[in-house]
Amino acid sequence: MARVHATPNGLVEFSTQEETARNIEEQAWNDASAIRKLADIKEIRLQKLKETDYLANSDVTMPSYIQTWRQTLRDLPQNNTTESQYDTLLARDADGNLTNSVWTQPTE
Amino acid sequence: MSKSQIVTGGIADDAISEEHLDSTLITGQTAITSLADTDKFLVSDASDSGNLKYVEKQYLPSGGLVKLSTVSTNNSNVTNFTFDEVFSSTYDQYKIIGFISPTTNSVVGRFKFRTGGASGTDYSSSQYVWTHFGHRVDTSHAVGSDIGGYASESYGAISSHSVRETTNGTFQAIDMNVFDPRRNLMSRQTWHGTVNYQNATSDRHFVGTFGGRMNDNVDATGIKFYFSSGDINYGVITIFGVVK
Repeated sequence: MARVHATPNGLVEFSTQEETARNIEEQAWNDASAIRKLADIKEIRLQKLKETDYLANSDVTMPSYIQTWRQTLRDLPQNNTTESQYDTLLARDADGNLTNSVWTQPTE
Repeated sequence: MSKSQIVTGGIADDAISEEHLDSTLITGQTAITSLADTDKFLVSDASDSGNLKYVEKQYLPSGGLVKLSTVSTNNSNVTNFTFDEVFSSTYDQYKIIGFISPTTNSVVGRFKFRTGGASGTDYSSSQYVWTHFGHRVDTSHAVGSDIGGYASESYGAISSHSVRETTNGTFQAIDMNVFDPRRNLMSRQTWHGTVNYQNATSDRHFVGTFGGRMNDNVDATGIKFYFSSGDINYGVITIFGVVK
């Protein structure tokens, strides 16, 4: 079924040229999916690192398990390189909460 | 009873008062659905003892915004909202308000100017310069901000973050101003606005500002709103002209 423009005067079907242009546009968007997901992962990682930055202050000692976790977060891009791995990292529950355990700050 | 003509001066000015007016005096006439500037309204002139006079439509006070066009869809998939021949020499400034909801999850809202009048085509040269600044709150109540932008894109962006799809009950709402799309005053267009939406991948809620300009001397006669992929299945967008 042809795509349509919604206009003040009703629906107007896409021309052949418009269909081609839209296909190219959507393909470009879909091709960049992995790049966008990696950017999301880096954004979440930055947020998680910021939450424990205070432990790097000179008047406190960062626990070793936090040091290990922070290094794991930093290594996420090099240890996860496929889109399916990105999907695993970005998985969320029905409430929108991240479900991958790598995002959970360890307590011991 | 035969009809007769009352000669000039044959009836007093106050001979026919309100109690004798036929109640169909107005509704018995032919209706019109649009007004010309020289159409006339009967008025009682307060500055002249209430004497009856007329005023033309062009002299009636009006608002500063004139509604030019609206496009909407309600649970029916369309690929874009297209407004052709909406920008003219009549106005230099336009206000655009509305919302659109995507059929596909994790897409971004965009627009393109249209050229060529009634049978317009997309202006897709890489001459759009835009930036977006979004304030956000995430599901853990943490707040922050994100910035995006591009200096030579083939479209204008409403946001640089993806939007949640319709099935999540969300949409992207905009309040946007477009300046001089027909180059009535200068040789460039510019725009800015505010946007409100739920991000798809992080579930963060964003309220942002966006804006940009054209790097080319394009004569924009229209504008098109769409998502980076998929369709729009709910939404309405209205364009107003700002009276000069």
